[in-house]
Amino acid sequence: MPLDTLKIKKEFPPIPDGVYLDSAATSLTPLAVMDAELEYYTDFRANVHRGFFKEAVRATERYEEVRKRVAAFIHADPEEIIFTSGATESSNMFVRMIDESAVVAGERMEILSTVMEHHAGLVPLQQFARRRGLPLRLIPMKGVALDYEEGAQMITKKTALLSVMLASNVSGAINDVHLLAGLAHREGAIVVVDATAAAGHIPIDVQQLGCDALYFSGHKMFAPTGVGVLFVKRELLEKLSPSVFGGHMISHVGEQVSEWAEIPSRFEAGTKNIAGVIGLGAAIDFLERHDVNEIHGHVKELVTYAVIELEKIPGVTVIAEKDPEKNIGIVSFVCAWAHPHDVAEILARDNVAVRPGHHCAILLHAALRIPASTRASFHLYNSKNDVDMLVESVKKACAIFTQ
Amino acid sequence: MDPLYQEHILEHYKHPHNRGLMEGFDVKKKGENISCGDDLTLYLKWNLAAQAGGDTLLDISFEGFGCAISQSGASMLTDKVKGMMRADIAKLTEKDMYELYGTVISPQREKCALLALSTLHSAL
Repeated sequence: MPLDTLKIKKEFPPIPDGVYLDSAATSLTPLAVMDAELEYYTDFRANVHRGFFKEAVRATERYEEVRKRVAAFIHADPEEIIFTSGATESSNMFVRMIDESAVVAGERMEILSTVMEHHAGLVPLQQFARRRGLPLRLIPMKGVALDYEEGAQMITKKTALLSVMLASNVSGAINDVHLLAGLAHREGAIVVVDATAAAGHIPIDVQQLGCDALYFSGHKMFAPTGVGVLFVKRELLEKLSPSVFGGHMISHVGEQVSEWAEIPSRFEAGTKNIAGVIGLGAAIDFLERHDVNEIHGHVKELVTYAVIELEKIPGVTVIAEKDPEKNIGIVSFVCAWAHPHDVAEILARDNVAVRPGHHCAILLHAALRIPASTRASFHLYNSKNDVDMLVESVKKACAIFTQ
Repeated sequence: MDPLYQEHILEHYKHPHNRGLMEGFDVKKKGENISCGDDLTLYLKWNLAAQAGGDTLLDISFEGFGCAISQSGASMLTDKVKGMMRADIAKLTEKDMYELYGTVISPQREKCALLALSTLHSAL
């Protein structure tokens, strides 16, 4: 069912003449999210977990309420939720936490991931593998989906850690994380999931996925920039050492040695992005009010329509999961004669906002044997009319560069 | 007419000059813009100290792929520097490159526009 986009647009600051098809880079921010942030700054500006005055108490309550909201949003416990600055910090922190602990040792000598990963997931793993002298193996793709047969072969008793994204930020493909996590757990590996592209587009249920850890940014799901989440299952989290040290994360400090606080405080050193966390809470309210399933239903229709219309243009090849059920809402494409930067430049003239480049997924592009692509990404505020404007502009770009 | 994609730029993009691998080159230099995926390889053949003033660029060609700005720039720049002296090529500036385009290059496309020149300078 298509959503009433005219009504939805009223919940956002006015979008100037044009079409915003870059939600996979960052989503627009609902007015309610900005109001929530502003309310913190104007009504109860105080640090959390510290003071006894009423603003401090209120700030702490609101901050901790969001932890509960996030936990419910992904079907976890509040103690398993760590606030970070975004997916990149979450990913780096998790890998460091694993590295600092004794959970990867002995016979388990391989790190496993996929060629599809965003650099935020991949590069910290590369650094970890290099520090430990462990091989990093990458599950290949079959078309734009993961090669599950190959993946099943690659998951063995040697696998210490499997890191996989829930959905691709280039093709929109939703991965069968449940399947891979099941295989990895049978072999005793730890499974971490990058849900950054998927968050806000499909429901996230860490119980159903069966993962040990999962992370995402707020800013792609209507929250402000600079806030993100790292979920780690309690059984694992309790075994992990912190990787960032400072205030709030200690239980006792001696001259030489300190002891760590309980989870999740142990992993939240220093003052976090309090306003951002409160904004994240409002973003989850917004998502739940509109229902993530309804949003996906709406976006699926746009994906289907965009794929059909873009493929009609001579010279255009679509790089996307074409089954809309399995696509979070992204259609990337290449034009035979026009480089993505030239396409995006022509589109920008028509106020159609898309993103050209490798989208921080160089290995995915290498696997598809293309240097870059142009990405159109959809969210609940986009309409079929936006797709029409995209298609018209792409036609124009193709015409300019046709040999 | 688009302000950026003017006729001469598109012409150089669609029908590039000096494109292709060179037989018997003296210097081969690769340049790239990682973030865009622009890729350029220059081949240079020098006439060493043919004149009192120093070396002359006898021939130059390029291979690569990328956006219209980076590729047309390579075509226009290789045309310009053929026959020039090494010292004069070294003196070429960003402004000279923008003059070849004959239009304002936005900050987002600067790297594309300057790829050929920076690669050439690193090949000297």
